[in-house]
Amino acid sequence: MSGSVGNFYRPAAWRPALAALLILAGSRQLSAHKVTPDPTVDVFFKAGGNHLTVKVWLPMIALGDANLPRTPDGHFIQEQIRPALDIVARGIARDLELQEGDGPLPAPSVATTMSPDESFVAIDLDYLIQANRTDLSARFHTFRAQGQLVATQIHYTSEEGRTRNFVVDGRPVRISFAPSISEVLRHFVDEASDVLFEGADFLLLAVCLIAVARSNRAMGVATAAVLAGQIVVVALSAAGLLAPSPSAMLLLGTLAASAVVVLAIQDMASPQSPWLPALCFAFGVMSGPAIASRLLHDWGFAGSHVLAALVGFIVTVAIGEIWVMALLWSAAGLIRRRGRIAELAVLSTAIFAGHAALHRVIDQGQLLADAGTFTFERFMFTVTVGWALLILTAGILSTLLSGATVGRSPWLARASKVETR
Amino acid sequence: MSKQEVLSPGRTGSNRERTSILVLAALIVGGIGIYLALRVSGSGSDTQKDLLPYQVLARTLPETEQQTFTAIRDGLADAETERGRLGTWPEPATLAGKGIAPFATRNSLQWQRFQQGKTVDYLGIPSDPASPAWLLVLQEPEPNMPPDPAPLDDEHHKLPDGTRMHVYVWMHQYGGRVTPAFAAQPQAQGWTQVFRVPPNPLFLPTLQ
Repeated sequence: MSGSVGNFYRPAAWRPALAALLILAGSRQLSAHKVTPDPTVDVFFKAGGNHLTVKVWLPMIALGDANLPRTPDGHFIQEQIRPALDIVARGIARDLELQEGDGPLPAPSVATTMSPDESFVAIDLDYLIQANRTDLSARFHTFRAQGQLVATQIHYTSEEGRTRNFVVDGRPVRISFAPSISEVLRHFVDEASDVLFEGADFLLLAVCLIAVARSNRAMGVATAAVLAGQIVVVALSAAGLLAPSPSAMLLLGTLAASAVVVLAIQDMASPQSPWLPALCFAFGVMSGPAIASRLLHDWGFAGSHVLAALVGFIVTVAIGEIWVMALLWSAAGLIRRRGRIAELAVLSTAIFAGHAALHRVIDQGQLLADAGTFTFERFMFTVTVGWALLILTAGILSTLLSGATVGRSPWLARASKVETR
Repeated sequence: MSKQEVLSPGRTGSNRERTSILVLAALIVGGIGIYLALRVSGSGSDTQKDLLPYQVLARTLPETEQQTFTAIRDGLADAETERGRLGTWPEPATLAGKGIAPFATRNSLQWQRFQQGKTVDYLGIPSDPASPAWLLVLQEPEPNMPPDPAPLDDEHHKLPDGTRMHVYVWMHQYGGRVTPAFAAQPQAQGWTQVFRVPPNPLFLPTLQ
């Protein structure tokens, strides 16, 4: 096989054209829809002395299940609402299942206050606890409003004044406010594995990377570049030095997908490009915030073991991505050994990956447009021109530097060094 | 006549291929093993993703609610036997008299029976209004309805006379706020459907 690799890498004019055609095929017209902020339930915990005070801020919309007494014009019936809210408050306290260690806390005293505009109710719960106990835990779940789930945000302030925040927007969970290191590690390894199972952009990038018979060194450097970009962003985010807005997150996610499109085209047009590590690093940086957001979403679960949480999360993501890359690379190498047709088949996976990535660019660009950040056309125009300028700059730089580096391009796949597994 | 020598790839080539295949197999088996380990441990998966907003898995409920759910499901077979014997779904007092759970054992719930067409509701209202209410919905097919092709499971039961029926268990978090009446669409009245396992998406019936 290795004898044919040199010819195989000579870019023919039809290949970039075919790649562009297939990647662009099936792009669709888009429509806008309205995005409104989601309501949330907020729960505030504060321990002090032998008391634990809990305040629950509930939007009335999340109490549709409680069938609260209303007049025909939709207002609450004042003489009936207080006992009804009392039932709701005691039901919520019961559902919280607050525990000190393994023992349940005694029932709390309950007070409810409805906001004057009847949009919120505040539920105050006061528990008696043993002083200086930190092993408190409680069970949290989502609420329901007009057929949609309402997330619960938990804010726990310890006696030392440190506040930890949690968000529960999926299955009910018991949160320990002073978790052990093994609980923390297990939680963040789970979260990282979810990142791997849901990381479509990385999978598409991996497919584009293995589609061409690059050298082992090139593959290793590309994988390391992706991981380096992601780890830098995750570490900066965990340190609080990087906190992109939701719009910026969407934008970066879109750019990460667009990097996959560029890599797919590069596989066809210039597989030996020396800019592969830079492109992979850029992908890592742009996909990093989405990974970091998963970490930060559950950051409160780390308790005092933040380093263990960070290391457990990063190491799991890194091992998982290396595993995916090694698996695909190994499989592609075995297939490529079957001959020229098999090589073309592996190469064609880049076209499908690029096509899927282009759809992700469009979908996320549409979300950005919906959020009012850009118009969709302007966004796509900017991304396209931006990449065109980058590629042009890279081409000019390569031309200028070619005199100095001619004959020793480290990323060029030499017939004798090509991965042939 | 010229002589052509054909060289085999040799031991190095076959060793390399064997190593490649072994590495690939190890990667696949290792990955699947880790995936299964994570799934079996119950962590790393958000089961709520498989459910609608008004549905929940019993194992995510508090312990007391899990016990009530188990009692309802355990007593169902006996209740179905009574239905087969009497030809109609009996009153809760009759079932309690037979010692059938949960009608006989869950003293904190006051059970009532409601019927509309071929659908029967057993509604359990708690004595503590802050505790959950429970609703057991037993839906037999209306006359002339085609037979249900779904396989028998938690939701699809077969009565002793061969009639296939649907079984639903619902919970209302605020039991004291439930109006005792037949619930045509429980999810629209604040009820949450409780499952032992996520429902089979291929056989999702609609409540009538």
